[in-house]
Amino acid sequence: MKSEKQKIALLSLAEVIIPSLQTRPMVKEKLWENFCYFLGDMDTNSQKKIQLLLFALKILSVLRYGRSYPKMNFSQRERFFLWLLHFPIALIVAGATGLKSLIYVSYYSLDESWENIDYQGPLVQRELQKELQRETK
Amino acid sequence: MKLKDCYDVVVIGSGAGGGTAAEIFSRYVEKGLSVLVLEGGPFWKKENFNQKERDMSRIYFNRGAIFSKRLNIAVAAGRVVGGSTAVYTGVSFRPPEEVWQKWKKDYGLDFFNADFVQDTLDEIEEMIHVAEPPPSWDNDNNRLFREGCEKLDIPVKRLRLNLKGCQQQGLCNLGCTSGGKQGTLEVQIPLALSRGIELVHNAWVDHITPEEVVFSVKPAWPFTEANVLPEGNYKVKAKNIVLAAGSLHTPPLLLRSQKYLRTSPKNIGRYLTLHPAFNVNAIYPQVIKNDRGFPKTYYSDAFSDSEGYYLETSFYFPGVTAKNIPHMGKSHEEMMKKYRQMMSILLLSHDPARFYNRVKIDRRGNTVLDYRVDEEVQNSLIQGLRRAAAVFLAAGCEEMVFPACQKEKITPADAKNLDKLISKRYLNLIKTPLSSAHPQGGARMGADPKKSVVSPEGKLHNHDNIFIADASLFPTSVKVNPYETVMLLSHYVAKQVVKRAWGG
Ligand SMILES: Cc1cc2nc3c(=O)[nH]c(=O)nc-3n(C[C@H](O)[C@H](O)[C@H](O)COP(=O)(O)OP(=O)(O)OC[C@H]3O[C@@H](n4cnc5c(N)ncnc54)[C@H](O)[C@@H]3O)c2cc1C
Repeated sequence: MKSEKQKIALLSLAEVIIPSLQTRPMVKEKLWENFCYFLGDMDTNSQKKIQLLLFALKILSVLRYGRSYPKMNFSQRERFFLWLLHFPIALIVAGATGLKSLIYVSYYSLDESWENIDYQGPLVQRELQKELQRETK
Repeated sequence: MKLKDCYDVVVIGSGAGGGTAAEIFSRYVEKGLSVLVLEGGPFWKKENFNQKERDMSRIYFNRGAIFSKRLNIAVAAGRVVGGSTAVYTGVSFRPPEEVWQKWKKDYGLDFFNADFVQDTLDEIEEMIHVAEPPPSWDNDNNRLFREGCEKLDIPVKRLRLNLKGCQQQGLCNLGCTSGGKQGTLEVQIPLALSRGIELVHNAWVDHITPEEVVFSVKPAWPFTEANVLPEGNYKVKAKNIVLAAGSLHTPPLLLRSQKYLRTSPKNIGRYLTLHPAFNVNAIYPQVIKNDRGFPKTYYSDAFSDSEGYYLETSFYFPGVTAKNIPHMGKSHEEMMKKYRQMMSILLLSHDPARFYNRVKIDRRGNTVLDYRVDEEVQNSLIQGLRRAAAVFLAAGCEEMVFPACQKEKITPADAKNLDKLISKRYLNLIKTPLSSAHPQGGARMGADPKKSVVSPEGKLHNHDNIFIADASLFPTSVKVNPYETVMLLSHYVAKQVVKRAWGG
């Protein structure tokens, strides 16, 4: 998952799932990094399903609203994703649910999200953490 | 490290099953038994665990979620030296007598008797330090669970745990940095290594033949131990092969090896049970700091026979918690803001062993999980969800968000309507998938080769030197958290291997 278009689509969806992201562009960047880090370690089947869903997001939004997902306003994006979550094809619903879960895991495993939920994070502070972050980049 | 031309025993996997077997074999190394353990995951030592969900979820297959084909359940399993015991919580149950009596009667596992179970588990429990935790370890999550149950006259019991020097950091499922959790990563594997067994990590076994194990060594990750063999493909000869790759990977390994084996593939991967679970959360008015302290000290088996489930305390880190809360958007974010006011209950449903529930392989030989949640399990889940909601309310919760619920939020005003609000009508496992950490079965042990994969001595049917020693042996779900039963069976099978290696 490297394309700029995928990134834009994913982040415009992430805003709907976690609305406070709308005003935090730096955190969105980190979420994207984290998302790629998680996805990169998953099996090819899961990777394919997620990419397919992002593709479906694009196609279906054009078919339904005549414009691509990132170009819709917030409430349209929200309505559209809820529509996907109730879609008559189970695979689409499952894919949308999976994508939503991965966005949550990618966001709430970021240090930047912890302040909002008063989570104090790991008890061990290791050099390893910094280096693993460097490795991801 | 230089591989020997041939080993007396090659063990595949180093989790509850493989680690236990390796420890038994290591007792004979001094007498000349050569033992090699091949573990597909990295050797990730506690000194290098960093307690971050982001990094530590790599310790699992597929970041902690092996999805079923139907996407109705996601299974967690460890991919590391220590297997799932590197990430388990250490809840220690002996197999219930009614279960092993059934295994004995219906599947011909005649070695089961009260003395065997007690003596073997006494030995294992002593080695891995199983005991009841002191009351001082109970955090609010556990206290509230007990309080809620007591108000409803639901009997609660104290869990037993396998710990030594636990610091109650509350992050067991991200790997224990203190080594307090006494899984095979901390106990059996180091002991076996100290006695001279050989271990190759990052060694993914592709297939076996009756004489050989074929594997490849994958690159080592940063901050895990360096590889002991260069990356590449290997074959090693083995007089005895012990498969302990777990329920999700032992059957696929057998299927990938099928053309070299004389065992019928009919039952391989079948009768898989998953102990499907919902983890549900509720918000309390006060800060209860459940992310620290031991996550699990109480459970209730009061509805095990009548409604088919256990309730256990639990608590997870933020990413997994967020994923477990249904819905999305602003209300979800508001709920997560109250993470420190949150309490969790784990609902574990007993699933019957069905022929159609299985692990198989795709064209590339990868694991495919095909699992249906049948009516009986769905009914039990609904009853369990209602019961968990009642416990939360009795303990004073303000609100909760539940799967299979008509309303977005349940509040104390809904106390009398739980049966209506939580109903099978609203259960949609695609939108709120189940989770599992207890896969069992898939290489059923049994006396009748037509109905099983492995003999009561632990040998693959029609083979004398291929053994299985992991959770895939279970003929049915053991109903309780399974690791002690895995160790019990593995201990028994390892002794059969020793008998064979030593010529009876
Ligand atoms: C998060 C979590 C919490 C849990 N908590 C508890 C608990 O509190 N109490 C309890 O009783 N149980 C618990 N369990 C379940 C328990 O850990 C398992 O039942 C038990 O470890 C299963 O043992 P096993 O040997 O069958 O498989 P595992 O312990 O999973 O070991 C299998 C090993 O085989 C390796 N492997 C797989 N395929 C290959 C291959 N092709 N080549 C080489 N190596 C391979 C894997 O990497 C792994 O290390 C928990 C599990 C999880 C995931």
